[in-house]
Amino acid sequence: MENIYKTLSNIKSRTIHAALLVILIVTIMYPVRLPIPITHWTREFYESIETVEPGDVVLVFNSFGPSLWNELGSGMSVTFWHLLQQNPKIILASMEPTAIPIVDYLLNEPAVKNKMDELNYVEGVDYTNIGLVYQEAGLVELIQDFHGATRDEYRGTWLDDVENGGDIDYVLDFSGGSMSYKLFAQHMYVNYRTPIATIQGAGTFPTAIVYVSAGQFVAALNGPIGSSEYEMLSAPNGWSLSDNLLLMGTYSAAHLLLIVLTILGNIGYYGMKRMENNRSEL
Amino acid sequence: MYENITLIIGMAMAIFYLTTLYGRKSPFYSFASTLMLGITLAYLGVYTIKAIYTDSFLQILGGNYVQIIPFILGLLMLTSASKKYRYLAKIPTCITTGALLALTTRSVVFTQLIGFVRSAILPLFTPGDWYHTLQNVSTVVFSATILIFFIYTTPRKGIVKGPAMIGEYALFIALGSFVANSFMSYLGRFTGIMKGYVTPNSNAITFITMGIVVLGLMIYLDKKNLLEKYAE
Repeated sequence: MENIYKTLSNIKSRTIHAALLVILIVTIMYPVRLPIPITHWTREFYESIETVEPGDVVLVFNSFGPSLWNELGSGMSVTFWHLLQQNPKIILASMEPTAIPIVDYLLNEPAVKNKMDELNYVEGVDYTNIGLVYQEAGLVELIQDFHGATRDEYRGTWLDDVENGGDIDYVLDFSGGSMSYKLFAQHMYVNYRTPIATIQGAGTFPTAIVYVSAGQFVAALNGPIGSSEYEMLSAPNGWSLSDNLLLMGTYSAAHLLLIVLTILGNIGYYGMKRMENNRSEL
Repeated sequence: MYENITLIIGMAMAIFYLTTLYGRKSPFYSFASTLMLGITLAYLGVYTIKAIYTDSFLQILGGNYVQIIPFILGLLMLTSASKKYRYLAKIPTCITTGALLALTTRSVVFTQLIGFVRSAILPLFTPGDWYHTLQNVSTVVFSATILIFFIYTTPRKGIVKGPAMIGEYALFIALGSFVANSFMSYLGRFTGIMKGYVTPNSNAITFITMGIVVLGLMIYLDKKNLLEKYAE
């Protein structure tokens, strides 16, 4: 019995990593479909996009790079696809150089591209990608003086009427954990009370929902899980369910493995402790 | 053809990074991390040069002479590479830090202080809705007790002891939740990448084969005590 307790309390990290890798690969190759309950955070996000009206100016701001595309790409795509259905005018911007190609990935996603073609979205008329808005200083300048920040490049286009953040009706912030959501709270919300919705990675979602509770954001989406829930909400409207939904079974399997290992490790630890106590009593 | 090559390279890089799980120094990991660092720096370098060209040079040449000031400040930052003149790099650092602090401070009082405190002032009891009652009670109680926990100028006894202990355990729960969310975030990134490499099944065969080959090489190098030598 002592050997069992000893083994359980000293499971090598290599074994854990190998077990995790095998479970992940197997459940990715052979997906497990599990029911996905839709949380109120995702419903609020969905309903906030439904409040966008045709012709509203929406700032879609991306702060994450290729490393987070696998985690948040589907959420970015499905929320943008849903936003397109509201027929707003869209300004696309990026906070980092590494975030710029993500906007191109988004616009070339098949479902997004098809929706834009269906709705006759024309660049320069219905949407404009203004490119890099570098860090806090760039974003603050954009909010305070749009044409100053963009060096008057968009004078004479549909963006002529956008002078500052007060002329933007909705912000969709693909933050993914960068500081952009805090910057929007500090500079956009404080000055103009613009509705702001943010997509976060799972790690930073707990800090973002504080802003939702405080009324500074209208909604926050929780990483890949929130993205899958959003796809379920949007599916009746025609969004084809992506592979991200099938990964929910993978997440569940990985978490179950961790729970099992935690229980086994604790059994081993307390078993060893008990044996040592018995030995010392003898 | 191009897509196949990028897929193979991506698989190879992923496997090289995974060799760190072997538990020893890995030359494959060193190669992959150095290559990634170099590519990222090169990419950022190109974009930085482009940004300096469009936002500085072209602006100055176009008559916007105010842009000379940030250009000079940028040049001063380069002095940090010199031992003798690196003190000059403190000038633009101080100006930038001061400006950003000023921008942030004027609004952070409203967003992160008043706004958050106000959001913690909630009705404790919502008739007929046990979920929101529980949520509000826990928000108010844990907000107050965590603040009491962080009062270090009062000894933990008497009236302070109980609430501070509750705050401490609330912090444990919150931090545990935060760590679990962080794990989920990394899991999401990993599974997203792996999805591209193990589906369809043909990709999985290639990926697993490459993995076995690299693992075999790692074991061989380990037996020959060459891992540390080639990892440098």
